[in-house]
Amino acid sequence: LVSRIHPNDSPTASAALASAISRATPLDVEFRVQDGEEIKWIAVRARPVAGGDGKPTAMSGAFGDVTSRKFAEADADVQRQEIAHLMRVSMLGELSGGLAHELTQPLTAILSNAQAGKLLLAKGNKSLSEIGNIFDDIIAEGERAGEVIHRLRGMLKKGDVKHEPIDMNELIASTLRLLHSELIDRRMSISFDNATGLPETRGDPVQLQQTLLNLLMNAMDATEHMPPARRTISISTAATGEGGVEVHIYDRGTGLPPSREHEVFQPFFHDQKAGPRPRPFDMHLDREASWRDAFASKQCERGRLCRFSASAAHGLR
Amino acid sequence: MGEVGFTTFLVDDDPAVLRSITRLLKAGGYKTKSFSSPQKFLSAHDPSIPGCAIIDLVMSELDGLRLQEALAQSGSQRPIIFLTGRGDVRPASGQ
Repeated sequence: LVSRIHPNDSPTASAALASAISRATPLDVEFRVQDGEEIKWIAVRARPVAGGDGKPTAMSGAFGDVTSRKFAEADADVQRQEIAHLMRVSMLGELSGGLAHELTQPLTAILSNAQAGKLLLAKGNKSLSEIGNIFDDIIAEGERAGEVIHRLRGMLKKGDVKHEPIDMNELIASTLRLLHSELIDRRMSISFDNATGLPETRGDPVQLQQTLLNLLMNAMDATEHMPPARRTISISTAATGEGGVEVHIYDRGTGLPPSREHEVFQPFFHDQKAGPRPRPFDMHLDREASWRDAFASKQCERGRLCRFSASAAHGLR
Repeated sequence: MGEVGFTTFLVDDDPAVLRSITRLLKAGGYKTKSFSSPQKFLSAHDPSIPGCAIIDLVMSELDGLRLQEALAQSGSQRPIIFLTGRGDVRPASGQ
């Protein structure tokens, strides 16, 4: 059997077996085996059996074919990703006015600069430094527009869930840049208190940004009918004791009645009008991760605090 | 070409847009004063200087329409041209 283990799973399976024998711990591992044309998933649950000297000399347990469960899990993953993608698209649809503004600003600057440059040249202006400044601004604004498109593309495209290093402060800052016009439009003010020296975290940047957008949009909705002094959202980051990063989003909105408190963590939960908007909490967590620990939401004296944490070891959790 | 003695007051809180339109107006021969925030414009405003204001409709501190109200309350009759990236007349007409 060992020789037929799929090359991708072979190191994991061998390591698990070696560790179980050397540390005399139960073995619990799943791997693929090549069965002719077919690939099968096998689960092994076994206990070490001690020899005369008390050291394990053999393993005793059971093999099981878990192919159908694995395929079902894979199907569920694909569906989750499809839903997450659809939700991103619909969320960006809601933001389309503000996002268009984020593009028209740099385009206005580019056009006006180019027209100014043309006018200066037509008038025989010989100031090369001013022409140089114009080109500098055109380049910078072109890059600014490109960044907006890049961020949008990331949100709009379908893709596998990634697990890569994330600079949480930068991710929040770039999410706030996307929301800039929307916030102004809704007369919301937002403060971001970014802690320095945060540890690196890992996760899927697109889904993390989706979560942030979602929490922020819910916070905006919750404060929409508040007097201006309460139309504020505070975001802060902090290092956790265990080498992770915690993000706090605090709004001073209407909050939730206690009877609906438990709904907050349901995937399609949305507190106000406009139909269901997801809090896609459970979409980007490792299956094993306990998302009830990762996310918390509580009613504060005047508003609501949502908290989530991520770490390098576990990704978003 | 700008008439002698007339000043164009430009108010936009996006620095890049402010710079570029200032350049364009100056290149067109208009005497231009630029302000990066509505408050800066209001506190420096001298109603006796003739000319119009070009004001961004959507600004974080104070939007263009409120700035117009503030100007009107201070007794200024300065004509205003609104800038908007929305391509939408409704907000500009206050509806």
